Amino acid sequence: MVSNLTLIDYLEKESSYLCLNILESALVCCRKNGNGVIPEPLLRDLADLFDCRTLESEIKNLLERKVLIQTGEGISLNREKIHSLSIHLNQLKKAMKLTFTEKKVTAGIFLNELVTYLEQEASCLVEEEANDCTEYLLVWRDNRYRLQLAFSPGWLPAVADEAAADNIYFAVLGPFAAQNWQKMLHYYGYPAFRNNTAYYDPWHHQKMNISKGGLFSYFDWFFRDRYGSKFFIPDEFPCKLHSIGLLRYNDEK
Amino acid sequence: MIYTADKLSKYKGADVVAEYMQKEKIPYMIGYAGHGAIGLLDSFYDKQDQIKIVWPRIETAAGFMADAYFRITKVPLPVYVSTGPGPVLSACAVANAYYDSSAFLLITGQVTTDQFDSGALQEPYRQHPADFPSVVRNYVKHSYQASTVHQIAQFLPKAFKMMQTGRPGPVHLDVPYDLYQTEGETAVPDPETWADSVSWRHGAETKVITSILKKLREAKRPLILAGGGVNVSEARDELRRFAENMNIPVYTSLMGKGAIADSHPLHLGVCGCWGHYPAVEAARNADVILALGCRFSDLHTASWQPGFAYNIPATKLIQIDIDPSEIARNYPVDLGVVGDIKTVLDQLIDKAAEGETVTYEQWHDELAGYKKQWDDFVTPYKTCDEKPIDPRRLIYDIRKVAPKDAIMFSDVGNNQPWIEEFWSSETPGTHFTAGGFAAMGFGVCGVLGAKLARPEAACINVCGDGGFMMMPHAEATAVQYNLPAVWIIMNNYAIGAIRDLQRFYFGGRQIGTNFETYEGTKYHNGELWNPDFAAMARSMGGEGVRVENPGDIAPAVEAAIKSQKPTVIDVIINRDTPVPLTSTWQMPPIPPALPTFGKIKIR
Repeated sequence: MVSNLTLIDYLEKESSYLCLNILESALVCCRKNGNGVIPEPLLRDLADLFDCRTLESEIKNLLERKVLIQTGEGISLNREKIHSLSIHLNQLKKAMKLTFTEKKVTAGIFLNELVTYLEQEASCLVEEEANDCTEYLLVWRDNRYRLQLAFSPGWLPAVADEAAADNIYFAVLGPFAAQNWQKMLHYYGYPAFRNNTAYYDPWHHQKMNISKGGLFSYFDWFFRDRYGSKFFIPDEFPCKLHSIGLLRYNDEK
Repeated sequence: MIYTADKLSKYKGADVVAEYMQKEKIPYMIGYAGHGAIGLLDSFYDKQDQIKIVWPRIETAAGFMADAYFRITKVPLPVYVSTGPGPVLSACAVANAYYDSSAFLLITGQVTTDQFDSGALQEPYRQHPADFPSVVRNYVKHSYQASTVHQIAQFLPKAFKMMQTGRPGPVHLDVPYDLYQTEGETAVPDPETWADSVSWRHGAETKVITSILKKLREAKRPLILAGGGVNVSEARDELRRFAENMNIPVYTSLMGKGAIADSHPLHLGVCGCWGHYPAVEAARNADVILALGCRFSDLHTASWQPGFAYNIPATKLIQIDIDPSEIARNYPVDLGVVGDIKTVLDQLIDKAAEGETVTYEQWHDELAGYKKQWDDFVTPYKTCDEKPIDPRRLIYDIRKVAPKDAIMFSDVGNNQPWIEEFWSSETPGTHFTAGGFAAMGFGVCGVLGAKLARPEAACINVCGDGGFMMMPHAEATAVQYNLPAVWIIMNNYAIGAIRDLQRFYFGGRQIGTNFETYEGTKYHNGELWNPDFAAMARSMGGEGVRVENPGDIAPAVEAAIKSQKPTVIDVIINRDTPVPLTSTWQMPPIPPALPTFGKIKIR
């Protein structure tokens, strides 16, 4: 069995987005359900985001290292690794570097600044939970908002139903545009996903969400006020919304 | 008995109306005769040197003219109609005035008091005797039905008080026509005593004024939104002074257009589905908006969808309105204030003088960027030589030759957003349109009301071929009463706004929206067809010209204004040029469209 040290070495030395995607997804699944099995659709999405062979190869590697285990129910995270992996992934997420014209920060600082901004600007906002500068649960105007740093754009659909059931708006911040996040666009056909989730990629100054305004408007204002920048919507997003009948891509020009 | 102090005399009901109107110094009574109105008209026979009777060719036109007259002068005119169809035809005009907080007194004839529930000619009797009030009650501030001559005397000052105080609106008086000629013991009340001396322009408490100023001074990206209430309250000068004192940018709703000169450096334009990009972009980025007399309608707010026009919240909204029912109707308020816009602005100006002016430098820089983007987009159209004529070129050329203080009435249809986006209203209080009820034909007739109100001004109506053909007789009325208005028809052989909805919302399946010859069994197979509007105008005694070349626009408009003759200019425009969409409007369940100009950057 691989030691914690070996795993950390592996992540730091061999760190790849795919590996981080898989491990983060596996952690989300552990948190979400008892057996921690990564559901097939999520694996298919990861294969879509990268490619099938690379995914298979990385899973094989992680199985060999006993970070993942194969059971009759499917692939899941080795339970012994959950704690240390969780800590380490959080550290890696926090340490991701963000470079702007006049400022360099880590993702952890960026998220922390965002939350501080929200506390200043959005009156009566309450911070209900905070987890190591990587995850916050905020309450504003009777709505709950979960803000989370993430590596992977892949696992958000896996939590959408639960977020909708719990009436939580789930926003993830990560370098998604570089990881084919447009492959996730078809999920906007699902009400739980489109109504309760939001992607923000400050690395590429982009976002994808049909939020309902509210607290998410402050995200944009934060980015403008603190970093002089804007979250743009990638062109594929309104095109896809048009194709699934949620928006009309105007041809009136 | 409220008039015991007055000496009672014998009056006919119609005499009461005529004498009261004389006391109110009403210059015109507009309407259309019928058997239920001639009893009233008779009492004006000997007063025609003081109260001129103006008689357009349909009751709706009478209402539209009176509505327009009020918008300009704030004087509510009486509109007389007979029984039955006349009142029903006037209902559209009453609604149009009501939605836009305009006013006139609609006097409808009713069957005689002894004929109630008989089903006599034109009586609305089948649910309730003589029940026209139920027909119009949704569209008036109040509906009276007199049953005695004395009640006519009682109701008139109440009606005038109600029309002119608070949020203006039309009032209805239903009079069984026997009362016009029946004598009753009463007194004709004095407006000074019963209507004119009411103080209603109330302001806000001092602490509220202080709080508004504090919120604006602490803001980084404040805006002032001038809604129709600024025009209704005649607070245009106060708006400009306050904005200048505070150095806060101003934008308007469609109904607020013209509250501040379009060329004013602090002005950003109109926010709306077909608004100006700088205004829309500013509205979705503002942190505090001070809204003055705006009800946040669907066309103004992109059907309330976050990110297209507004982000409230997070934007903090301070909403001032004289009508408490409009406050927080569609958006939550950070601070709601019931008050008269003019009075509250006066209070704000006074109090603001005590504090310092914030520069909002970064905000103004940002807005300057939006303005440049929009200017870069629209400038080429000023000289566009395309044929058929580009609608923007048409409007720019009208502006070039029209006097600065020309009164512009747009109608309803695509002409309205074209004017909204491209007409520069240089003298505040000179742009008018039908925003809420949006009745086609209002502008076509309203321009005559404008000419009655401001005979010395150039009064122009830009309308569509659809709207003009609803009220083509306006030209005849203009000739008849020597009202040299100018109608400029944006002729696209269609009700273009609705055709555009079919083009862009219904996959281009055009049915019932093109004016074309009907061939066989299908629409859209025939040839486009309209009457010769210029010839029509000439046949009615006015002038008429058809313009097909861009270079002919300015000379034609200039000649029409100078001619002092009612003139129709029929301009053939490019029917396929859509009005640029700067936010959106939704027709549920069809999803909203993306703006054609300006990306949605914030949702």
